[in-house]
Amino acid sequence: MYSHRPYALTILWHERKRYLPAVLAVTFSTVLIGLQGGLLLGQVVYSSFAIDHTSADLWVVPPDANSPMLAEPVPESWLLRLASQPEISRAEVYYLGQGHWHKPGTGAREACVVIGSRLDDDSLGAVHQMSPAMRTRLTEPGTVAVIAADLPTFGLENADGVGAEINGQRVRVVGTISGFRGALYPHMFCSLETARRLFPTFLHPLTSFVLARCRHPQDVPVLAARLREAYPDMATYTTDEFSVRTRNYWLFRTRLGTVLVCTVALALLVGGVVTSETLLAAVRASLREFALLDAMGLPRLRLVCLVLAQSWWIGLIGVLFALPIIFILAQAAEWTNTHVLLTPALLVGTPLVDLVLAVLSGVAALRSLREAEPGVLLR
Amino acid sequence: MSETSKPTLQADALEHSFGTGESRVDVLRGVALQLQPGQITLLMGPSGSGKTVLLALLSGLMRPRAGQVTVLGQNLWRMSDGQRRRFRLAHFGFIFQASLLFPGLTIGQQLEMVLRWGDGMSISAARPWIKTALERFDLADKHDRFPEQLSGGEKQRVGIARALIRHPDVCFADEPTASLDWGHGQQVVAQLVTTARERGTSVLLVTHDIRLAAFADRVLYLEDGQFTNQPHAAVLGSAELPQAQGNNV
Repeated sequence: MYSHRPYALTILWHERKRYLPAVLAVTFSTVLIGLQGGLLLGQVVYSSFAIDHTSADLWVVPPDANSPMLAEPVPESWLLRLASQPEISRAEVYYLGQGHWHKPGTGAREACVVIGSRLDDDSLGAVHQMSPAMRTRLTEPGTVAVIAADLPTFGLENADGVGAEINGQRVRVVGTISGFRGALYPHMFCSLETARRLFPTFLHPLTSFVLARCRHPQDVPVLAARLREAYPDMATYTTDEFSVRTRNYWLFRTRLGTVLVCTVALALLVGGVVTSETLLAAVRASLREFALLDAMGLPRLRLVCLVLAQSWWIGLIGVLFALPIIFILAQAAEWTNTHVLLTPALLVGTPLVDLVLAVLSGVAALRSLREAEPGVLLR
Repeated sequence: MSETSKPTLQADALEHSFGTGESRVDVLRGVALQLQPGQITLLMGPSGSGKTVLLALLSGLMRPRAGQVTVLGQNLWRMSDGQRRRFRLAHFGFIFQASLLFPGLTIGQQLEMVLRWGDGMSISAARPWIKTALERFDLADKHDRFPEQLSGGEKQRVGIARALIRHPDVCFADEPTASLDWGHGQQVVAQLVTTARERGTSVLLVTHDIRLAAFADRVLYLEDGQFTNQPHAAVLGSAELPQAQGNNV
């Protein structure tokens, strides 16, 4: 009979129709921020997948290269600069070009990214998802492998030796790679020789990098620093550095980050205003009850804490509603081949931001509590 | 209770007005009164006579223009705001026309809140107090009910239980039966009076209802900011006139 329930929670539950808009506003805000953040992270992570999933320790690129797709070709003589370093066990060239895929049958064109790398077992540029059998098949000139999720984009039903054209050059698709996809364009993989054949003229420039691997991982940052100092004309990055640089480029230079900031601001504004106004109205509806407690001399801090506790519970219930919705929508997005990356930081940070938002809305609603002075009881 | 016992509350030469200059309206003019322990004092008067203002001045909710209010030997209006707030918490109870219960809290929580927030009681320590209070006002089975599930009379009894649960020295009641029919109003006031007498609580009951005089130890009539022995007929209706006992008349 006498079980204790927090006053704020009892009020919220008993007057749930009154407080539902605030709870839903927090839920909406959390879902919007979480999903938008997850979508963006998914795209940003994809933007560097061709860097993250290789065995290279160092990437040597032109000084102005922000992203693999946007770099100018580097002189192949730079390969010798790296190969001559005692810490380096292997150095090789890596090609990347943006071309046009002619869909089989229709001939419709689709922009695509072609990555050419060495294909032996110790290859630095071949992505880890490429099996040894696949690498062997790709050694045949004119063959490419595509990302499985990109098959519909290429107008393909399967990858069983189907023929097509890239930049007017005949190719044959010999397999698919799973586990990731390109951030903006569909990707395909081939040997260095095939890549050179597909990009024979200045009309279709081919970017080249030099990749290297160190004998000892601890040498990587030291060597990168030394190469930067010794060769200021070439930009040398560790794999992690180049990955971050690429992701940051996509995030900020392409204004994807701005979109995220605007979305978060909008979501917070909607959540904050609705929560605050709901609490404000609720306090005003009980103004005389608060005034009586004030007249009785009960500590005003308790009244303040009651309103803040209400805002805390609204926030907590709102984010608890939001989390499963985020997971369901993220899964639904995956079914449409849209990657939503829900990192632990995002899953903790988003609810925290919305909890803070809810409590701040409670703080904003406290202004109505100032009206709850005993004078209202004497009118 | 003897008139000569030490008063719980004593007010002297209370004056109050609203506005300034030519627009100034004197609401109270030299009012003095005493409230004795365990005594029920009825304060009557026509609308605008200054009853509610007097209640506010006596209870520390509104500062008088002149005069003083002494409660338990302490001058209420020489205290700081914080001291007066703590004094109200320690010694006063309030009942208003509306029961002023939070619609979203159970009856038990309405009382528990006052004990926990007012006295820092633990939940377990508050339970026997709540149980006793609810039983005293015939509300034992209403602990888990919400105000909307109670009748008007029951709600007002909860309001009185809340005002008296901490055993205040003075209870100020402003029209506590105005929203009730006579049967329920009579029942509510009877319980208020019984509890106050048992505990030695001084009750100042502001009302328009002359029938409540039957419960009072004395009746004060306020007209035009002063106590009078000859109350306005509109105040009394056809009821029999009790003898006025204001201290300044």
